[in-house]
Amino acid sequence: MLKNTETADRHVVLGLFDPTTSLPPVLDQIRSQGIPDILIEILSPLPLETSLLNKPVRIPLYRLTIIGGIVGIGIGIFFAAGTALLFPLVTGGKPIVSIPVVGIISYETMMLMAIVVTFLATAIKIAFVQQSGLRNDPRIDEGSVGLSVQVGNDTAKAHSIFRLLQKAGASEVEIRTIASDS
Amino acid sequence: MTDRQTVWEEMPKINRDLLSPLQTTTWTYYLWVGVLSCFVAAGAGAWTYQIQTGIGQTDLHHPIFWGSYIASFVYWIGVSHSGTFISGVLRLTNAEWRRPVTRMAELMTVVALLVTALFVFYHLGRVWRFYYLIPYPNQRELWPNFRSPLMWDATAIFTYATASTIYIYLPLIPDFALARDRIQGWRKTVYRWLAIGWHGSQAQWRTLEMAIRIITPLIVMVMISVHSIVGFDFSMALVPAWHSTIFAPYFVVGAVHSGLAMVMIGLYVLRKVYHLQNYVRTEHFEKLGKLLLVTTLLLAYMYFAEQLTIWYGKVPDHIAVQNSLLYGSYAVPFWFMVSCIYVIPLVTLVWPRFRQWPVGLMMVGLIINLGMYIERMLIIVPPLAHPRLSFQWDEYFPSMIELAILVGTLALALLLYSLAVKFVPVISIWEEKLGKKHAQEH
Repeated sequence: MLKNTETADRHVVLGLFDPTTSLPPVLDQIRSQGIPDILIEILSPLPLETSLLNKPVRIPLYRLTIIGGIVGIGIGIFFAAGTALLFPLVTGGKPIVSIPVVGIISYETMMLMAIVVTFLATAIKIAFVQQSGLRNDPRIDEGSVGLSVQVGNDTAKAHSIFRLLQKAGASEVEIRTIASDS
Repeated sequence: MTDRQTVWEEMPKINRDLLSPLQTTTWTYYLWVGVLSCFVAAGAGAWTYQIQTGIGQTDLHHPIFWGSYIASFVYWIGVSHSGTFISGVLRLTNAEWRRPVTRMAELMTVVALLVTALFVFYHLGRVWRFYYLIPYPNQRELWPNFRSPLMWDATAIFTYATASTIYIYLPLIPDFALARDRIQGWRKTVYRWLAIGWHGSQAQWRTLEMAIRIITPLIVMVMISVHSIVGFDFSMALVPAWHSTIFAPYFVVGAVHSGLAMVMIGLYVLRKVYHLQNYVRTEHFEKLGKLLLVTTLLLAYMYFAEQLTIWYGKVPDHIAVQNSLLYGSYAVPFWFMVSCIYVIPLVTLVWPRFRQWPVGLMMVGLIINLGMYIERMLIIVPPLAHPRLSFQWDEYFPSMIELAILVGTLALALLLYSLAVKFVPVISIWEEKLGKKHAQEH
């Protein structure tokens, strides 16, 4: 099925493949048409074992986890040691700032911040760092693998990719158009 | 047809089977929810009465200031370890059989933690002053005392509740997306929000897998710290029979023991009600049974070490507590507890054929949970009832108001879980598919 509109500003070509299809040759053909990996996306109901696309990762997630953990340690030290110094409760034989207490509270706040920061970063990456024009196709969860290619406003290239995907064995191919004001 | 094709071709059936509990509701479900709601309302009424008339409505009195509410708090924290242990530890060890069990267990964790928080408020008495626990700059210029183990507890439980919610939510994102595309009505809108634009791209899968890989060891460490700190609540005090170094690890193992037993009950009930026999198989019960046997032995070993040390030392304050358990006023619940959490699990779970009998395992799960609740009460009450000055010795039994609140809270936990299984797939759909794929590849 080919959906095409003359007024469309951007085209996204989506091909649905049988999961047994070998995708690397198809990807090579798409790349040979001058389309970089950043404009290609593979959609699947399961994580694929090998990464078929070379996309740069700007900030690795674990680095944000470590930063969150360090901030958490700071928060823990403030709560356990800082508040004790702000309002000293003098107790016989006991220091105002207790090192084991600072350790326990800092451990908990370190874990809290590390996990929360990792989660927020993950949610942001999943929600916002997505290919323009990409949307979920329920057929993928039924056992297909989708190959989505952004071709900008080049209608001729969209048709060319459309034919390429058909020739590569896609069970269904469609061109999705995105209006400029969307 | 290759094996690989078979897994992918099974996907529509897996989607249908595992989303069906969300799509079909019988009249018995509404009846169950209705009955639970009545119990919850009764519990809420009892709590309201306690708030109006004061904490004197409980049987808490000098020297027994901790009773059923704190015992329940410790018990429910223990139950909350089910999800983290099953999901976290088994994920870390790459145990493939965990897949159909994790979601049910993680849901238990979240529900148990919600319920746990309530017991803090029940016990506070003047519940409207709960904000005294929160560290914020205020007019009194007074901060919470972080040197108190109770503040460690508040911090640890807040961390654990937040982390557990995140830990259940992350693997749910692909399943929410699946539900978003297949379920209509108001839930579709909610699923769309919760799926945060998931469409299964490789970038999204990579991010999700990396996040789960990072958070899993962290949450296991939080899990261990939380129940250790709950143990510290007792062991830091110079109360006879509490001041012991074994309390922290004993509490952690005890929590895992009751948590696993609770998972066994949930697994059996959900499998039966939602016809999940193809997914939750006998092998899952058998493996959980083996784990339960290990925790039984570990817990028995720790309990024996603790009691033997007290008995051999013969320190009068400590031995008075032990005597009250062995043949004193708490002997009946003590020996009942020993039967429930050590003897019965041990004599049943050692038999391989018993471990393949889901009904039997569910019964053992019920017995262990009953025993663990009594065990929590026996950790708290007898030592407080036997302070060093013997003229202060006293006894305690929960009042009717306390019992009503306890029953109402148990009903609330069941109600929340029952409502949750209508909104969240009880088996992680994508992980189940991945498990089948791995099984066919190897």
